[in-house]
Amino acid sequence: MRPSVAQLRSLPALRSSRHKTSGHRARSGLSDALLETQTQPPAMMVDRNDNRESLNMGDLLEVKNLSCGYGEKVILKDISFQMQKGEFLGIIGPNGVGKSTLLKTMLKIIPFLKGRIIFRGSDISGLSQKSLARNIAYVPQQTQAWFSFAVLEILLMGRYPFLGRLESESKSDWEAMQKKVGLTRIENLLYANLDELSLGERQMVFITRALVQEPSLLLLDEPSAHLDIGHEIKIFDLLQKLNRENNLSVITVLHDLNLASQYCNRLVLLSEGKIKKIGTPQEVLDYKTIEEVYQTVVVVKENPVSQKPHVFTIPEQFR
Amino acid sequence: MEKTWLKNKKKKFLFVFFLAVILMITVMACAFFGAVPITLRDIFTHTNRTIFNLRLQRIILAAVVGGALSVSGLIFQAILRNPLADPYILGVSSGGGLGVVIVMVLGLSVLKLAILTLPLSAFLGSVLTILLVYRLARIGGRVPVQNLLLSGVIVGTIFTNILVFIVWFFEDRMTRGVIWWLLGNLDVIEPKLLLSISLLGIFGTAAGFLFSRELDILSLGEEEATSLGIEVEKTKRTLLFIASLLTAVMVSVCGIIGFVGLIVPHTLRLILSNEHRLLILACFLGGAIFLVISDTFCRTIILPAEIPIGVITALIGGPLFIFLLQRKKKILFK
Repeated sequence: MRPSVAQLRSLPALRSSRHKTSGHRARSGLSDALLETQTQPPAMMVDRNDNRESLNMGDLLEVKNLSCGYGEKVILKDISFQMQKGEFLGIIGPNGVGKSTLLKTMLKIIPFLKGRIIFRGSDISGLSQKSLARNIAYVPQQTQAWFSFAVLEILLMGRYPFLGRLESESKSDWEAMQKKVGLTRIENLLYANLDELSLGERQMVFITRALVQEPSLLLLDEPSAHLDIGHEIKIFDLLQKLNRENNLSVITVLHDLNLASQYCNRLVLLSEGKIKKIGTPQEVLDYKTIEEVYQTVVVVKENPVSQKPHVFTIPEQFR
Repeated sequence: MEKTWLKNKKKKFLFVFFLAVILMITVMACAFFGAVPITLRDIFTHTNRTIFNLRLQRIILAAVVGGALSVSGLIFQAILRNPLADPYILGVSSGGGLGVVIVMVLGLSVLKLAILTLPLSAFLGSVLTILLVYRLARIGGRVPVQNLLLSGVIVGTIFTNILVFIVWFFEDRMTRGVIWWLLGNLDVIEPKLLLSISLLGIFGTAAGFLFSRELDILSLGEEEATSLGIEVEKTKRTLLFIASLLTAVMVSVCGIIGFVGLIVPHTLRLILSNEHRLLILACFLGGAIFLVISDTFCRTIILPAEIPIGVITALIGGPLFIFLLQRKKKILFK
């Protein structure tokens, strides 16, 4: 006998992973290993290399009453949130709600209409595009370009914000590039042409280029769109590793709520031009909120291994 | 892997160097061909000296025009991220031509004034055209590429037809006919003009060269370029200005010559790579060689008549373009 949606909801479907008791978990070597990494405290909250931070209480980014959109068309209205150094933030929400618009506004790709975006204590509207690029890097949604370049050339473009007009790449630029190549393990692609690569490989190249910019904040727009689950997990595991071991703060736009739940330590749920909810995956992904925002029926249960919430969609025939 | 990469890089540098050598040889060799045959001995005996000099001037003009149009096309392609973009698609050539024709109708192009008014009116025409096209394509502070191409084609077509109408209606005031305008001509009217045009052509190419890194990044996408630290709208405006200047100046002295800005950059992209630092130099040299040879055909095939240069560039350029596209297809589906 199949349980009904209502029955499933009446059960205490979700526990917070903070109070987890290991007795309920299926034990296996794999899940133990996974758990060990999960219970590690989030990577350093304060950058030890940078003393200027002390004034701002570790706030990496502060978005204050931001309104943004294209020209007359306002897409997001009066949005405010903060981000600490070392966080892995996910931006979720229905199609067309303005997730990508928010990222592009933070990168000054789109001018914003009202409000302020403060990055490490300074308003980004006062920063030059180059100095912004030395701090915030971007991995855009995959697009097909007409003109192809060698991977090496693409990666060296990441040094652009560090170079003057007549300057050519120095040895230290090359070394910076090679170090990042070692991090993402794409040594074998270095001399290939971009148009010969698979989608997954291309994405790794663009993530590497973003790292070559040596940013403290990495913005990604659906980094795993069009990728199979194998490549998807590979990319998100890499991002998680960079987030934890290299103290890289990450904001990613995501379609897939479950991926967001697995990897992000905080989620921003956008709906109808506003922030509907902001918090840990456990706080944001409750079935009432999701059903209201996405206008569909869902059941939220716990992932048996990671104990993060998992959103199951329910086809009409089972409702 | 790394070794072949470096080897290829070296080969590419050598290729550009060879282009420079070939250009010099072509310029010298083509001076001997023409309606009046000139031999090596004539040069030392000073026979036919005037004819040789006139011919050399025309060849230098062809080289500068070919080089400038190619570089202009290359820049337009990179900014618009479209291998089919060039000064003609964007209406820049037509706008420049229209500017010159209007100045002629107003009677401001008498011989002494021509040195100043011709390039200036062409430049104003081209820049105003690209500003108009840019303005029409603009939506909410941004300029999508497809809008730019579409408005370019429309504005260009309208301007070409206005040009044809003016040339036809004010036939008595025109020193040049419709054919001259629509298909181009490389006769040198004024040696001083040749000097100023050569300087502008070289200046424009050098300015483009300084932006080669921006061209690389812009050719991959504007949003990415912004996130890499490029002030996209400002850089695009500067580059459009340079490319328009290059086109305009050339149009003012030789009419509208098609295909050069499309064929040469595309061919060289296939041979070299899309890295603009080398490409921009190669384009200037390659465009120069291409137009010098084309013009020599024009002058010599049907003596004593002369074929309009636009016909020749289309006849050489078109099939070459198709051939290269086919080869590219083979490389792609290997």
